[in-house]
Amino acid sequence: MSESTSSLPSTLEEPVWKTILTELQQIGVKLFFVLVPINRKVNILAKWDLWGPLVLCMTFAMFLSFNAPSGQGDIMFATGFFIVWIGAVVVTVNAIILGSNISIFQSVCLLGYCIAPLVLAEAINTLLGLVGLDIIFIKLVVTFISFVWSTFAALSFFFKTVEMKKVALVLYPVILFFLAIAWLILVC
Amino acid sequence: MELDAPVEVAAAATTGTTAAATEAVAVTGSAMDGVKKVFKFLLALVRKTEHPFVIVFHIIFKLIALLVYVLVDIFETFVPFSSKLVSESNTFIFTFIAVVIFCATDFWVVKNVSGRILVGMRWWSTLDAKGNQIWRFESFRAYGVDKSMNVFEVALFWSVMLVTPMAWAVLFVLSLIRLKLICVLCLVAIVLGVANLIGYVRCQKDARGVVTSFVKRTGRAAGAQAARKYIEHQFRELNEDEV
Repeated sequence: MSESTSSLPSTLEEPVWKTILTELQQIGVKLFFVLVPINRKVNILAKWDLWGPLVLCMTFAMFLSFNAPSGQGDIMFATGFFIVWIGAVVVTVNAIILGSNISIFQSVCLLGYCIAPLVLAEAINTLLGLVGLDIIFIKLVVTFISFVWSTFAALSFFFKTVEMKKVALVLYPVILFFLAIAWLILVC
Repeated sequence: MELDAPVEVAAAATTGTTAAATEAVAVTGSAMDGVKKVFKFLLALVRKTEHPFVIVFHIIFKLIALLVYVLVDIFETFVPFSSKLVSESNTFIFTFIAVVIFCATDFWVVKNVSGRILVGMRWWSTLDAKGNQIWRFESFRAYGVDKSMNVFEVALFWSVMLVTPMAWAVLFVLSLIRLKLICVLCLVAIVLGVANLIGYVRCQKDARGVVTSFVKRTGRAAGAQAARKYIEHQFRELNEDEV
């Protein structure tokens, strides 16, 4: 790469290690912001990525298939994977149609990161099941807390993107999305 | 490779069949020549590339994803009692995770590294002050920088980008007609591949906008002609080496 063109107003000439480093840093920052839903001064979604959602979604699907009855693991895995992706896209399209000024990738990125608490609850539930503490009440409490946590993290982002009149119409499917995932975690 | 011939001669000489030995040498000799020629041609191609490592990474993840999918399919279809060895749902999950991760890695590599280095283009999006999505389709040509890209590398980049989704489409049809659940995996791979392809086609379009008149005049024939000239040139060089 010649030195003369390095003053371009673009990212065409940045070194590869820098590209990778920026990416990893972005994932960490976003995960932190979702798990600690306070201090929302910076618009962290300006640079979206789909790495975090991918990993979270596959972890979610893997736990689902692990807990599934034998012979149904593949179906549960595919179900988990596509519920997260297609659900996120449907919720986003709904928000965009209602006039929310959020882009499709941003929103899918956000929803994908926001299932992190639910995946955590799923891991705890699975662990409890392995230890032998397979009590529905504990599972219910754990799943409910993580559901509220996830929804709160996502809503605080979505809240600002629409006008007040339509806020319920946009937020309802978001809640439904997390409720569906929480339900899957609870019954599987 | 060159060591093989003398060893064979020695082996033949000890058995005493001199005539057969010379024949064998002649046959292996001509075969060796052919192999050598192909090898030299490939070497010449590799020498022509400026970024062999980037090319390897441009191809390898696509290849691994396809290989994992095809090999698992072959294993399940043709190995008798394969479902007794490994449960079908386990192979499904393994294939799914492996292929999705390799496809995603490939998507990232093409979007952020190989496209930038092999064809000098990159697509990405950002937000303006109002929060609207702005798509950026960058290329050296659109910036008016006269940076000549390696013809061979450009051709390789585009052909690999085109062939991969087609291969996944064929695999999708093959799985669909056998009513296998795994066909949804091909859809994921196709979506990722085509998304990247569309991004780069947009880059190419924006780059062309700058030099529209030139491209319109020469048209597609120029590309074919350039490729033919390039290959002819390669062969000429090869023959000169021989002489």
